[in-house]
Amino acid sequence: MYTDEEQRFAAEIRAFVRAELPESVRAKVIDSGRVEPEERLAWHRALHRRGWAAPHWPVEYGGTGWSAVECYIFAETLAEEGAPDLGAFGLKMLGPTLMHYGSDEQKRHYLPRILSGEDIWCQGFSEPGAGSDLASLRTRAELVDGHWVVNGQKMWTTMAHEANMMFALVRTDPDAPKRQMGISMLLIDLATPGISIRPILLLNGERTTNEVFFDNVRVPPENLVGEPHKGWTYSRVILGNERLSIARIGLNRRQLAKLKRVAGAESMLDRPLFAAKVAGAEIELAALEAMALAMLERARAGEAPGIEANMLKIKGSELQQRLAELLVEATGRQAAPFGADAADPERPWAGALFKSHFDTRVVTIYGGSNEIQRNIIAKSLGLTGAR
Amino acid sequence: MATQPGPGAAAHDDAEIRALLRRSLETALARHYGFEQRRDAHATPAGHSAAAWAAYAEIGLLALTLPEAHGGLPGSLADIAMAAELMGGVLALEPYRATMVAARLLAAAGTPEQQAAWLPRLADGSARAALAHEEGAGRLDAPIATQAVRDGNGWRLSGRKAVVAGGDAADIFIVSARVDDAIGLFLVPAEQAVRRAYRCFDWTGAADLMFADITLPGDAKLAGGAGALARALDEATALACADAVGAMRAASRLTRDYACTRRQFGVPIVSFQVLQHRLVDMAIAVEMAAPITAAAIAACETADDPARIRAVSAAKVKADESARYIGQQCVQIHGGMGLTQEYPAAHFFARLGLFERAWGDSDEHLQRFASALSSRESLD
Repeated sequence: MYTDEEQRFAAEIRAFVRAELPESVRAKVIDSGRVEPEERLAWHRALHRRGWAAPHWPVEYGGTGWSAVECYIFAETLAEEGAPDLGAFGLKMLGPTLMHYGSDEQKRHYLPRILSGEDIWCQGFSEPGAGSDLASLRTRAELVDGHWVVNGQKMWTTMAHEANMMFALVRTDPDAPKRQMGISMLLIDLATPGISIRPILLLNGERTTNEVFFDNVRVPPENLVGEPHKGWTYSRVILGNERLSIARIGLNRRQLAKLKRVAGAESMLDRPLFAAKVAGAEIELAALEAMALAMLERARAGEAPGIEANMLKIKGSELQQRLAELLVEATGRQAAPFGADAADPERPWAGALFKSHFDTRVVTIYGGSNEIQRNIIAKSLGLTGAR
Repeated sequence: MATQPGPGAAAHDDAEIRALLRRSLETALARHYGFEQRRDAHATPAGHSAAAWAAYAEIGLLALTLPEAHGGLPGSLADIAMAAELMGGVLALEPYRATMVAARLLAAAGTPEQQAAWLPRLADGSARAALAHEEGAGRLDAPIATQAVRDGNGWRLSGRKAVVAGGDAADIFIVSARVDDAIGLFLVPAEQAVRRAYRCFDWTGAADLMFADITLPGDAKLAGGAGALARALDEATALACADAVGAMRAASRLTRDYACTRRQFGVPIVSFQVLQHRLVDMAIAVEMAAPITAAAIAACETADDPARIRAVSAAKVKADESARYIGQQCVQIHGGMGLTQEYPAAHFFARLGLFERAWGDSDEHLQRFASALSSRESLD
């Protein structure tokens, strides 16, 4: 497990969160409430002031120089403490991509703004016809008078309504011999004329995701990332980064603690059948954590994470769903009421549990669905014919 | 009919009547329950479709099995289950099952005066009823805390009932309460309860009720008690299973159709064997749930108490298991589309997910089945 020094490190982070994060925001995160953009930005700024907005970034760009193990402890401790997720799009996905493939001007302009929270990014990858099969995307960009002119539609664009910038994959060479080879990555200011954003209403009543339409949207040439038609390669790096931030040990630990609290309040731990399910989830978490630590051990030795990161994503997301489901089970019929003032005032925890169960279904869908993750693992195991 | 019909002919008539009811209801649902019509119905203050409710009444679905003297029509619980299944398939929002369970309980256990006062209005759809039994988290084995005490010629009722399905729309409640050491059932007009009405995550309506030491007349108590209540709860459970079976069938069909048309990697996603097997497992799950649900419905009508208890708990356990798998796979295979409000997949997930929580969950029914088993074996 953690060394003494690592434990001291975790304690320092925990103390910071408890001192800096308003209790009201922490409670919202734990109760699956809606964290307002201002609240998230305030937390982003607090982390930024401490120099912790992007610990995994190199020091020259404002990172910490921490080891992979320290970055892991940091992320998991934040999640366990109920800190709002800053969103992976800028800090974990675009930032590292620009460091590798961006122009000097792009790095100078965008990285500090990502770090400070001044720019909020969304990801324009998925389309109505391109989900798991991202390479089939159709949004086009043509070079006209030196500008990229974008036409098409993106879908499931999480946070587009709160973001001011989007990094998007667009088709720039429809005649490329392979579909993957004709795709470029553009940085698009969402205030550009010709962009319209339509919210997608989910059954939970929230508008967290969107459709984004492009009608002759002019993007300046300097907003191309790297070389034209190489966007697919860059996106693989991005999705790899998304995968790494998705093991969710700290979040699952927090949810397990909540499950025990709710189950205790509902006198459910006296029921052997239910108590056994809680125990099963706890053991699953212990196994997952041991797996993550083994991966870290290899990271300490300088190895890059391999296919076990995909395995962690699969099992971590499934455990997250299991815990959400058990929370609903623990509160029984009281999980049904939904909406303002619907929940029993004596069970303040009950109102959002089914919503949280519903919301959690997405974690095996986004970031490369678990079916796609299994395909990737199948390939790496040498199972022939795996797609 | 001129000649005396034999038992075979009666069964034939029953089947014919049910087929007729089925066709009528299918026609009514096709007319009133498009997905957008459902959304619009949900947006009304009542939260469900007045037109659909009127159609149920017109077809006679609300009168089924009730005494003909009070406006009822002949039929069986299986007819009601058939209707519930079709309504589950379109995610209907009206309190049909709630009203039927309460009306049948009133017909079975109410006094002649109570029946005469309420059954005609329930049978013609001008009033709705609900059985208010569950408290707290609705655990099957939780003792009833609501209490009724004698007060002169009348009764005083105090307690709280939680998440009463259809309780938002009911005009009359049948409330279970402790009376000394026994269980009593009381007819309580809605205006006498402090009612907190709301919608559930699946868009159906419900209510919490509070009785703050209210006074009821002496004739508010039903003639029947614990036995009638137990039977009504089992009927409610079996009918909920029937509704879920309808939702499962529709969710499986929706998912299959989506997988057949959604293309990724140049092919319909249904061509991937991993998805084929899941769709097969969904089909198996439907077929595992439907017949055992029909058996539970039949047991509610014909079996003795221990056999009925076992049949209903068995159906709930299997239907829960199938509902969980189908609801979750329906969302997963649809991807992001499976979470939106504008498409039925998420609504099926919600309905099936809350079905699992209604009328006792799988663990409680497993436990009840096991207890029934051991008590029966110890008798042998």
